[in-house]
Amino acid sequence: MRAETSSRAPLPPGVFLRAEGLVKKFGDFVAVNGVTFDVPRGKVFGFLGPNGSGKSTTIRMLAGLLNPTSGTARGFDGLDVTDTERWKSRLGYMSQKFSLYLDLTVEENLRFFGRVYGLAGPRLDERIRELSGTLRFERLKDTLTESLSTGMRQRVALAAALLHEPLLLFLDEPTGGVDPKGRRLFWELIYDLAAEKGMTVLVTTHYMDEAEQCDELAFILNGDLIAHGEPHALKRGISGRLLEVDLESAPFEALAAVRGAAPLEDAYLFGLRLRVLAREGRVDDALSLVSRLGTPAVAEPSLEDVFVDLARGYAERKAAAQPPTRMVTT
Amino acid sequence: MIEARGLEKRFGAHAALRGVDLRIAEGELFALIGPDGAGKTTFFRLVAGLLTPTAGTLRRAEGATFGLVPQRFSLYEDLTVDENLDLRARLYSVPSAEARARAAELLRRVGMAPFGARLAGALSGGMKQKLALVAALLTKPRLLLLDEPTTGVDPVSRREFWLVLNELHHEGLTIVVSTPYMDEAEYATRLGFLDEGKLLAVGTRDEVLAAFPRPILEVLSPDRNGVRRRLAGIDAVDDVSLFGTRLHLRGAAGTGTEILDSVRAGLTGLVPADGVRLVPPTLEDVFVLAGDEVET
Repeated sequence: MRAETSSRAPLPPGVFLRAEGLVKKFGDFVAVNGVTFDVPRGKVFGFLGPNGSGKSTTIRMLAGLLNPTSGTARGFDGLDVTDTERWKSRLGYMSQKFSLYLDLTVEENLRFFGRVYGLAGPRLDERIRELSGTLRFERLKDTLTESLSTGMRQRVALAAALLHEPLLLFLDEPTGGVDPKGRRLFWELIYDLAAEKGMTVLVTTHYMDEAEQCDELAFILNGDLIAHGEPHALKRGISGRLLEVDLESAPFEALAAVRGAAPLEDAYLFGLRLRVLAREGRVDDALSLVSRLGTPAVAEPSLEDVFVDLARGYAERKAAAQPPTRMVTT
Repeated sequence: MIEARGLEKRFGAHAALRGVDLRIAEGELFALIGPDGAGKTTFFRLVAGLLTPTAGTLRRAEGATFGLVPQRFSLYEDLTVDENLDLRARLYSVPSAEARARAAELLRRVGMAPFGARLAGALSGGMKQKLALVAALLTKPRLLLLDEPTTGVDPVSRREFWLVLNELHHEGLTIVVSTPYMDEAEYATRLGFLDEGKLLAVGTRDEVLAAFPRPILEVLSPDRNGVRRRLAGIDAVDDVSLFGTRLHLRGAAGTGTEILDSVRAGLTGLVPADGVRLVPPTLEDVFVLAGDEVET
């Protein structure tokens, strides 16, 4: 049966991909516990969570590389993930393990992957030329992949995933092991792909600073989707209650001085800055408490702050055996 | 505690370390920062005596026993937490009564007391790293070496891990730790930037930041791509990077504070004047500049 004949209503035009109740079990272990979310068309969608939270398993199911235990995914204007070959031919996938052949040159790798995607002749030549220019590795085409830096290998792997001009790009921890400079460059490229080519990008990362670049985000923890929305909407839950004090020195002593104080829901360090989250309605008390340590200011929440807050709420709900999902609507 | 002089390590044609001079004193908490492939892991292996230098010398202070937390989890996933620690104690001939007491104390400190019977393979990423730390501390070393212990670990576990490291440091342990997280590098007494086998900067955070030779501007704008396009025409700006919701601009070599006016002028109509300001450099700015200068 062809997926398009499904009786379900088509996805709204702004939605490019929809995950519907995806579950993946490995024996007794529930790696992904029924996640549902929409990936908007032409946007960069971030899928976040710590190692082992179910990120990669989810992205592999969405990429048609792993069969879900239950649930499904729809996208590409009328396809279903069970229509695996057509689904896969329209997407690009790059994983944290890059999967290039180290004993081949850059160009040999790209030719190999091009043929896998059914490209050949002048078309393949042209794509390799274009991508090595855009991704800035032109002068390294004849270099053995083995001798490239991690950041450079990552760009070559990205090129391999883009050869067949996919409509949707999956990036699974693309910046793992790459230094800050390489990470920044990579994100600029990703942004340009979405903005200029209209490509939809789904990217997993555990670097919360990278997540700030995404148009929309979903947080996953222990296989449960714990929040989903635009970055500014996700931040709303703690904005106004997060205070920050710049410390000159002795950060751990400053932390010890306020940790556990009644007006504070949380206190932690970010380098030489102390951040405290005031309980609802206790901002003034929190301010006077931390003003002993320096001049406090209301801080703009980072996504790391948001994640920690969401994870705490999740743990509390789990303890109270409440349903684990909280959706943030924008 | 550690002294490297002209330290070199080559693997065939590849030079992993190319002449590193570094002294780390007893009682320091030293952070080693650098991109993947910079030579950090090689440095740890040399300090641990797992490798020998190709040239130069590396000395550890006499009696400087050490524990190593390697980058890859190297305990047995099919053994429990207790079994792993018991095995480790026997490998290093720690008397079993002493080892058991010490393991219990260390597990309590890292908040893992209830997990002794759990298989190591079933621990979260953060707990695996805590277990590796406990294993490294079983022999009561004077020097603790940690090779990217928090990479990929969730933020809460990272914080907990650093609380423990700080306690250990206060108790007198000398610690050398590498990290890709710049916020963690700020907890160190001193830090060193390693890139392509060379140590590019060493000092306290304030020393390293004070030596930064370029102005940094911050631009607040929701239209980041628009700002980037405009800035492409300003020669005095040689790097633009997205920092969360902000853009960080770096002035080219030789530029001073006058760059503020040229950027404000260049962004007229797009960003109000007070949306552009000079900010102090961060460790990440230092890191990125170091990478740029090596590349060219």
